[in-house]
Amino acid sequence: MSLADGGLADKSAWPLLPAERTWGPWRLAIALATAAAATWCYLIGEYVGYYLNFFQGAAALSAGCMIGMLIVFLAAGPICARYGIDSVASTKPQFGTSGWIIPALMQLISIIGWNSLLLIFFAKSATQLLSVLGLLSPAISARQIVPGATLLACTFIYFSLLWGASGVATISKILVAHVLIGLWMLYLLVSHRWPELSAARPALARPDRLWNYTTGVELGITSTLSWWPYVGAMIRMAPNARAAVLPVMLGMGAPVPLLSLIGLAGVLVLKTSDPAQWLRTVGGTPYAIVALLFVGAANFGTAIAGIYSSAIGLRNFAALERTPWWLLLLATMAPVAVIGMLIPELFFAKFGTFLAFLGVGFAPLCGIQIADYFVLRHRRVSLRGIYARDRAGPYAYLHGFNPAAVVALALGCAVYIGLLNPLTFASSGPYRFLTASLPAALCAGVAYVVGSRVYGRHLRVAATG
Amino acid sequence: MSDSLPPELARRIDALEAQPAAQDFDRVSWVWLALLGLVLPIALLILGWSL
Repeated sequence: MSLADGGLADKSAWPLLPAERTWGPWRLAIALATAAAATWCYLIGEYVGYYLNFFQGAAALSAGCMIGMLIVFLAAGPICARYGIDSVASTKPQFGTSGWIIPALMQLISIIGWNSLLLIFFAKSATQLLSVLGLLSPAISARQIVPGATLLACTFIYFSLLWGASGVATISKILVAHVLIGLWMLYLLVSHRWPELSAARPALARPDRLWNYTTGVELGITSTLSWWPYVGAMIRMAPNARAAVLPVMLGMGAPVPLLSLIGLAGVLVLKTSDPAQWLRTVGGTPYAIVALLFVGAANFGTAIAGIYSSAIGLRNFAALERTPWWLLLLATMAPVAVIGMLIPELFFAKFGTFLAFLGVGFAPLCGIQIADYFVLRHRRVSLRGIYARDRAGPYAYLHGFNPAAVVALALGCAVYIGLLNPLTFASSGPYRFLTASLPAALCAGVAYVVGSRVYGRHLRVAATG
Repeated sequence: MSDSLPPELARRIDALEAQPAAQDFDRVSWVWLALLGLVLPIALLILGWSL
């Protein structure tokens, strides 16, 4: 693969030169907003609505999302924006020239999971749309349509992404309008059902008011922590970190809690977070059609950004560095298509567990990155070391793995699970005061700093005999 | 070290490392980050709890 013409630069994991980072604040904000605003917002809002009323849910979720966004941006943002690299490449100083495979796998699993969810949601909405429009025969069930619709969506995304980052930007400009439609939908529900909404009580609220509130914050934090892959892949197109501050915090951090209010309000009043269902209740078939078109637009924008981020992350594997872009895209999309076609219902039903598991991995990862960049390295990173392939590089560590980072990540995951079980949502210790993500990130960061100092001393002792 | 790198990648690294080291965040950026990532969430949490 040659990057000499610069036109292929945004399809590689190699650092982008300043002249190639052409996304200004507005373009970046639009791309990030389109990526963040999808139907996962309804599901996030739905889960918060199980524990909190509308007002507390809105406050807890918004606070959690903004905190999570800050953590993600401080973790991956500075290195990605400074050198024009993606999130996975930014982990090499911490995890090593081979150890970066751990965050790479986390990214892959996260993006495959999110995009499978989005495309299944899209396929379900498309099926409903066909039904509403009378284009679906009663003899054909939704289960028969969903796999085909998923495959169709994958095909559309594949061809959109053949243009690389410019494909993402072009689609984003068109699809960003769905954020406004989403706000209109929220207005409709709030204005039509305000008395019920303000009086609604969450279905699964526990007697402990603080626990419910903390869980709302935690769901906001974990949701935005999983934006980690997207942030790096997008802000590498911006000229520097300063130019990315407001686009990231407002373009990506703000739309998620705003659109999540749709799901929150929906589940509290009408016991469903799917806007296509409750808009039909509120405004009849025409409103349902608008909602279904909205769902399609929202999910396409996000899935396109997600698949792009994932493909760029895969480029860090030496074996895939020179793979043709079309083939890399195909490999990235294949797992999504398989899940969407074979186990859509099973995967859709396990969304809450998937969301909680994201926090388990990404919170410690962010803690390690922040500690490394701001505390250990005082903002100095070797770009040459990130791409070095020999054993003498600054990030070679022990056979390419940094023991301090691996141990800190494991410790952070253990802290998270110790505080909040992602499968059962059973909590212990100071979870109700601290959440699980924040202590996990802090413990991982501290453990990483201590471990790095101990490991560095060990290396110096070994070198001097 | 650059011997093992593809020439185009080495050229990019040379070009980026030759640039003067610029601060990633200036004071204004830190103020925005603190406002949007700390002050606003804390205010929202206090407000939400009191409702």
